[in-house]
Amino acid sequence: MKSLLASALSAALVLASSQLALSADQIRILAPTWLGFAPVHIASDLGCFTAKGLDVSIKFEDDLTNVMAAMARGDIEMQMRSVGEYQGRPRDASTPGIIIGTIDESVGGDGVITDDNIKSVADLKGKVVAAEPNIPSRLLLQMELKQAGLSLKDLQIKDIATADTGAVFVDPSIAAIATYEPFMSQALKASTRPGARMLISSKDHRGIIIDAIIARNDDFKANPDKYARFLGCIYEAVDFIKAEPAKFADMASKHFGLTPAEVTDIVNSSLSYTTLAESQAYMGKPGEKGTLHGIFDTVMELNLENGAADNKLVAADQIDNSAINKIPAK
Amino acid sequence: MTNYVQFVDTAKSFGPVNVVRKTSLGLDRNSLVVFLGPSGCGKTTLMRMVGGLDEPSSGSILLGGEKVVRPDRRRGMVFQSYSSFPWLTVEKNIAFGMRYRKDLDAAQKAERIGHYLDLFGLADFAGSYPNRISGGMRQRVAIARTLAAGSDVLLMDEPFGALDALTRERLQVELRQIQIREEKTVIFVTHDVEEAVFLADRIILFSRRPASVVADIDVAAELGPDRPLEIRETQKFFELRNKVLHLIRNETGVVV
Amino acid sequence: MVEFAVSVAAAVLVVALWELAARAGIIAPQFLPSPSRVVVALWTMLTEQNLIWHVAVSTARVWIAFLLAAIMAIPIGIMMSSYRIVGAALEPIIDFIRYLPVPALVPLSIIWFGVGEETKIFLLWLGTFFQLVLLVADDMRRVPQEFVEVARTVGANSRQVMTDVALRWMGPTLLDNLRITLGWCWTYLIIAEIVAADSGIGYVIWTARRFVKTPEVMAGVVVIGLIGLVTDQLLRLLHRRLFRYL
Ligand SMILES: Nc1ncnc2c1ncn2[C@@H]1O[C@H](COP(=O)(O)OP(=O)(O)O)[C@@H](O)[C@H]1O
Ligand SMILES: [Mg+2]
Repeated sequence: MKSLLASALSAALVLASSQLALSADQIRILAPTWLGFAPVHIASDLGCFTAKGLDVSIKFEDDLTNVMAAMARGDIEMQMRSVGEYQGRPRDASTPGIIIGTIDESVGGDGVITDDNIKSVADLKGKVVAAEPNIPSRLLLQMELKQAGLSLKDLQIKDIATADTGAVFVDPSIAAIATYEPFMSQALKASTRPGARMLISSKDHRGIIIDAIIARNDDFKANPDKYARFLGCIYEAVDFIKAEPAKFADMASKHFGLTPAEVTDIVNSSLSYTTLAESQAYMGKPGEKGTLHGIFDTVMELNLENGAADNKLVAADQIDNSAINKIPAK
Repeated sequence: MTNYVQFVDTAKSFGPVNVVRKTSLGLDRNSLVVFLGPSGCGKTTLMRMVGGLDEPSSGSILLGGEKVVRPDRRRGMVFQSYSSFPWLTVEKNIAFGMRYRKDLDAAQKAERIGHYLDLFGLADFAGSYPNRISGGMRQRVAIARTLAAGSDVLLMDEPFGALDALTRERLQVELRQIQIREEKTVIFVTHDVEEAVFLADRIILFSRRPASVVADIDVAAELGPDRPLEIRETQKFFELRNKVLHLIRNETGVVV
Repeated sequence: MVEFAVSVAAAVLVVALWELAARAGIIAPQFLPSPSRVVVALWTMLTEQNLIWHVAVSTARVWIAFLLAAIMAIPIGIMMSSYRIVGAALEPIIDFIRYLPVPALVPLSIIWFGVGEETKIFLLWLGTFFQLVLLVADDMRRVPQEFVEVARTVGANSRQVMTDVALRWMGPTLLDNLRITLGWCWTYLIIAEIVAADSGIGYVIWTARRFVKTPEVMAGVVVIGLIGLVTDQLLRLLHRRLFRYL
């Protein structure tokens, strides 16, 4: 029944059904709908994957549970997510997934917005703050609260969908919203609140919100070389993006239904793609720890505290820097 | 032929509810027998058992000496509503009666359809759908279909109950003529006394539920076989009608 | 003809009010772009973003799921009404599943069917089948006993009663119910097409929403609406053609 359905579908939709022709050099990726993952599209458009004998496909999936289900089933070889989200429930030590590199970090892409009434994070005490569960800016908020001697429990948190940021911000009973781009700047632009602005920005917390490249353990172990080739292409694409920003904007626009100007705008205001050197610094030298290990632990602690994660994961078991160190430096 | 349709100790219950009390009764071939009785007494149930649509709880029903076990085209049903198929034209509705007959070829079927279209004055409406024709026409279609099917016994359950008085009279006259001409046996269920007396060779009057025979009236002996409309205005008709009404009051305890 | 004119006039009025409201700036354009902006977005999507292809993909998905649902629901619904045992066995289960929120079943369907086409079709099917099967069972129950009995007395067997009477009688309501459930199937499109998405109009809408391109979101919604309108009218026409006797 299932295969019958599959063949009927591929005939009807003329979609290349990659699932049936599973090859050793295949990498199927699920990532959220976000420009941070554009290097995959660019590497593909540049022909790098083909040149290195890789068969890479990427689809968008915003829901973390769905991605976990797909990886558990062996339907995908790779996912990309921020480290904080990656740790989220219901992951435990046995859940498939191992971080093998980084792709981008948030630079202004995540933050908390508020208005005149709130001068500092401390003013949020007892106020209503809206945020989607397990999103990066919630962690930023948590960090700054900690520094001010408060915790999320001192606030009244209301769960929302981030896409509704603009509409929620209209409600004066909401003191602040933890959100991300482009909803964040749209909400600020549309708002008539006096002093509407960013209270917290990922710009001021470089390295905390970082998107990781996560492989499925069994396939990574079986084909380590495949992933080294893949990572090589990603960092080549990042170099291209930095060297040819206009060409990049043009190429990426097609994959995201945006204009080139919108691509440039969003990328410049919210994120930075990590180069090979940057990523290697995060991941660490062979057998050693990198800065990401420390970030992983910090974020883990925050996640356990705010309830987004149930199980304490060990950075050394979740991060593998072998593939990234096989890439020859230019 | 006497005792063409025969109830032999026939009784029927639906679960704990006794609907037809043990009944034995024989009906003549080529006669029109009216089952008369108060609503809900079990007339329809009796008729459905003759049709093979319900099974007696005990006893049996014989048709020409043969036990009735399932419906077949020798006994055709004509209902008060939903009598003709709305998705078929008049012609096709009549043809439906022969749809499953293998003994007739296309030409024979066409000829029979033509015959019944003419007999019931339906020729002009052959291509019309039931909702485009009058209620009387629809009942004619239903009767024509049963005749086309080759039914020997017509089981008619208050077939004219929903028609206006004038149409109803016309159809009564026609039915009577056709029954004689086509030599059919008709069991006709009604609770209308006038209709019963006008149509019947014989009226079987049933009690309230559970149905049992309370009177058996030989109308043919009084009124003869021909029933022109004017017969309704005769003294004999009046007397007979009153007699039946009295019987209903006295024997069934129903106020008509 | 008068009705048609009124329909058009009403539609024009709604669009005019919308344009006016948007121009007056009563609601921020991020939430309600003007119709003219939506039309411009629609044009760019048609010329530059392969909208036609996405529409074709979505239409194919909806119809495959819908036809699968219909092919299964019609016989099963009929069986449920014809055989009490089947009805007793299935009705409570179906009634239960019918109320489950489809979005909550997405991870489960990924576990069963993966992230390919099967999951998308399954989710669309899920939103259609259980509704349809009960409608069919109800239609079947409403076939007048008289018709069935007339057919049996003229010699029809059970199968013939089914095809020559029950299905014919059900025809008009069945087509109506199919038309209505096809509409429901479209409403599940977004849920289905944001799962491991790379094509279809649900995906287009979702991506546009992710980047706050409200005119594009509206344009996508309008396209679904138009497809619905056209399909509905075509099926109504088919209804009139097939069931002239009504
Ligand atoms: N299938 C059935 N199941 C249970 N009770 C029935 C059924 N059919 C008829 N009855 C009951 O049997 C009685 C006689 O019904 P019926 O034969 O239709 O009466 P009549 O035709 O004289 O009005 C009624 O009380 C009716 O409710
Ligand atoms: Mg009755």
